[in-house]
Amino acid sequence: MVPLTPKGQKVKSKKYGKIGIFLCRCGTNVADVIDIEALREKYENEGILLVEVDDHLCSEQGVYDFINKIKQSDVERVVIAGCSPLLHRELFTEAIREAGIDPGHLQMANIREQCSWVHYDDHENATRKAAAIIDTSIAKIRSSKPLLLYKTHITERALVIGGGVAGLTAALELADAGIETVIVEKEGFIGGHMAKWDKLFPTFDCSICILGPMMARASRHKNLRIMTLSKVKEVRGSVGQYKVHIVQKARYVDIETCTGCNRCIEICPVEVADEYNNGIGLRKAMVRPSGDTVPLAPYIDTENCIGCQSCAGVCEPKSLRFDEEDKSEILNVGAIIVATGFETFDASIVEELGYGENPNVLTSLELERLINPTGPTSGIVVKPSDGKPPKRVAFLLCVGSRSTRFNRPYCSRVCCTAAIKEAIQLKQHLPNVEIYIFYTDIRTFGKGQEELYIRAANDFKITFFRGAVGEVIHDPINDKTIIRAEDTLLRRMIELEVDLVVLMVGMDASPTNIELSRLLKTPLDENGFFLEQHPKLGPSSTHLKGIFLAGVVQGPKDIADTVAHAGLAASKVKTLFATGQIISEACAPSFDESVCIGCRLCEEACAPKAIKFINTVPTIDIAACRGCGACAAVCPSGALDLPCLTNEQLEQATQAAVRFNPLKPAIVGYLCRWCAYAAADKAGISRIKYPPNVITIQVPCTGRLNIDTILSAFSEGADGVAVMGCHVQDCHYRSGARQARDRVEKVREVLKAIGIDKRRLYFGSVSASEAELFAEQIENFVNIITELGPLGAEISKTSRAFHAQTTKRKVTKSG
Amino acid sequence: MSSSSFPNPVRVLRRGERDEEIIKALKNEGFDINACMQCGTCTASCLSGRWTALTVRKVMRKAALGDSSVLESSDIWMCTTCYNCYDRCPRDLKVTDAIIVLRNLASARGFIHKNHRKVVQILAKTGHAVPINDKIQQVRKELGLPKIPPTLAKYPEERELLAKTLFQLAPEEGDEQ
Repeated sequence: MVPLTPKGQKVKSKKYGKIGIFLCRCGTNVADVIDIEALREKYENEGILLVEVDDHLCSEQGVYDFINKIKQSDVERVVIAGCSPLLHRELFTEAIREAGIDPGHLQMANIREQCSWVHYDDHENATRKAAAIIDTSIAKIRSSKPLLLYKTHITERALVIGGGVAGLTAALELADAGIETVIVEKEGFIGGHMAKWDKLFPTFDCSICILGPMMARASRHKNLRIMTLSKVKEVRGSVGQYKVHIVQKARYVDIETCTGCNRCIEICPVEVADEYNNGIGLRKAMVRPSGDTVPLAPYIDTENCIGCQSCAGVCEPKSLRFDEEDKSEILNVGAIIVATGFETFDASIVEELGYGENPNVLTSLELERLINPTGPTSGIVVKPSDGKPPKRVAFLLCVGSRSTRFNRPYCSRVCCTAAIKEAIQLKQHLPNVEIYIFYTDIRTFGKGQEELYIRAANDFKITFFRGAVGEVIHDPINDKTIIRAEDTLLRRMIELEVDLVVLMVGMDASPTNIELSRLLKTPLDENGFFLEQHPKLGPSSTHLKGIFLAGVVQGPKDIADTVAHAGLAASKVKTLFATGQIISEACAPSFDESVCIGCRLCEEACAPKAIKFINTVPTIDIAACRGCGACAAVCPSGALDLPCLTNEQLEQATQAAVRFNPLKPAIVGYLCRWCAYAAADKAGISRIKYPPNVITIQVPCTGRLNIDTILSAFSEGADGVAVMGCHVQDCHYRSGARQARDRVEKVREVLKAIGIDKRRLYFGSVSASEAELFAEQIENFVNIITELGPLGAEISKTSRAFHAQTTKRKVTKSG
Repeated sequence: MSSSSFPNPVRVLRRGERDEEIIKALKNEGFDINACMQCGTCTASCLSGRWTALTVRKVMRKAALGDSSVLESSDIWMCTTCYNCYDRCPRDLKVTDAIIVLRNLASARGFIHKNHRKVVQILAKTGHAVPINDKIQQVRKELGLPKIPPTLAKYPEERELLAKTLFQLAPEEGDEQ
């Protein structure tokens, strides 16, 4: 057993008040690393009123026991030591309420994600750190206040960003359920990538035959409004009450009266490369890529239009509106579904494959357009260099997937089956064509896909080679294309002359995700896709309650998975709306008028403008307040305080985190709950190790920290203090992290002035997905502090100088 | 020992039989052998492999398994260090650097090709890989250059020093051919 208390020492129970501690073994997750029995003994010896150990506190039996044991005891405040509050706080909030205690008096000591999963090979230090984490939680809860509950009305309107198959599925689900829904699509037409495809794997059903009716239904649905050529510019508010600023570009064609006769397109004299067909063929400045578009009406591409107005001359229903202007609109919605899809990998950066130089090297999307009867060649596949039908075609898999070289380490999940599908289609169009598929691993995992793979080889005589292609050699004079590869199964070199090379390009996260993530305050993962709330249990949810994900925006998916994912997102929105209101924990500041000095700093610090001064006294709008605590942090007199994390609680927790930290150097880490705390949890989930010297305290925002708290850590003897939050520009409360950064900088100057090395106070930024960065920063910081030695090591020199000076002054005085 | 009825059963290297030195040396070079997915891009990009028996993918696989026979075979010496594989490896592995590490290991153990050994011996003796023979000396004279260029050839003491240190080769124990 790990010794945690000196023998014979007993602390009186009075000191703690009526606190109960539940130690969760979490199966073996905690208990394998942390000596739970030692912890139990420690707290029993210290005279904690109730100390219980459970195998799985989150199981039904566990929760049942939890409630009953609290009911049977006099416990007034509860600490659960186990997993992260980000995982099960809601569950235990409900449970403790059932047990008759206000959830404000519950603290979760995170000894799993931030202890046992990190220090898994150091049982002793893990147990000692766990004790310190629990001690800090006890200190934090000693003066806890009950939670304020606050009901907000939900605007029962949903916004779907993106009008591809994911967005359409989600929007139709919602609209069918009677929920008013708005689709915002950046292109001129809905349908997304799926509208460009001819046949779908593995059943070869026609893409437009299933998407077409969906689009038509969407455009006529009474609960659905489609905004094309539109973009989200700003998002304000929170779950239930978002205010979304949307900018819609002018179409110049009236959707209501246009009949879709295409005469304007025929007459338009401008011809430019057609990006809809990936640059194959030409289009007009009056744009309508196919006859199946929704809406029917084309739009004018203002960048290329020469303003001849010949379109207006041929338009019978007089639908052209040259005086139309870009529109700007604010939408009130209760929930947002992000369904912005993907972009394909730009194959031209893979130099050795010659895409962009060799006309006979195509991407899978270009081939898809060539095969499609509505495409630029009306469905006739030709060799682009001479216009003749190809005799030999090679498909190259994993172009821009599974590639660390191009920072795309993930599998795009659809290219294998898509290659097989396109190969079969090609064989159906040109029965004599020879087809070779070069793969590293064939991943035909979906329903019916493995069968398709076998059929391709058996019935369509498609040859599969296991081996990636090293280079595609182009001889433009003789119009020859040669590929080089290794048949890794036979260990034989392959040099093959082909007519067409098809690159199966992977799915890239859309570059617009970066801006959207900032607008929505929702983090992206390491590959630029949106980060889901939980990879298994919450794949459509995000860390924010009102924002959901549908389709490839969360990660590569085929159409079947996309539709399932979008359906889940819609269902989540329906569940949210079903109650009509949201009961949320309000964390609005408390106000003590007697000490307010009317300095108005709080008004300035409040990002959502929830504090307004009326007659020298601040009034707080609870509905607008987001509970970040920036006001309490700047309040110089202590008139404002945050009930869910009071100044007193923060200070007590800080003192405990220093005093009970058994390790040297002793470091306190203040982590913002949105980014840094989530990143710390993710480091644990990924089993990334970092030194155990930091005891963390969760704060709603780093902007909550006042100067006193940081200084109190040092006066208590902390060797270092780390303040870690979001990247400053991504702060969930807009300005909190920036305020914290500036404040930390000021305190560093103060430290310097009193002779403490300013490196002892650190401000770091990580996003919720950057677990490695978090561990790296902690490790670096601990190394710096270790090098500096214990707090005060640097003072001796300065203080000697100081004393010398003061003595001198004394001498002069007396003299 | 083996009860297999196959003529040449593949022997799985157990812990202890694996050449940990190879694995460690590659790791130190930053070459993560487990990241390799044996896709064959390296072999397909290999200039030398088109004409010789060099299969880079196979070399890497053997090295990953800690199979010391990779040091004994002449394959690793067939690489021209053109860095094509290094450039194109989808897993961003430092393939060419790994081959150089393997060569270093092989030389340390005395697995040096006869001709390579000769080149080093000439270097140690003359200071040049291509010695300055009479013909070259004649050309130099015609060009108005000094007979011996200001290289190692001119400084016999330095050359001897290098011959004692840098040009020292492991004994021919494992020399093949």
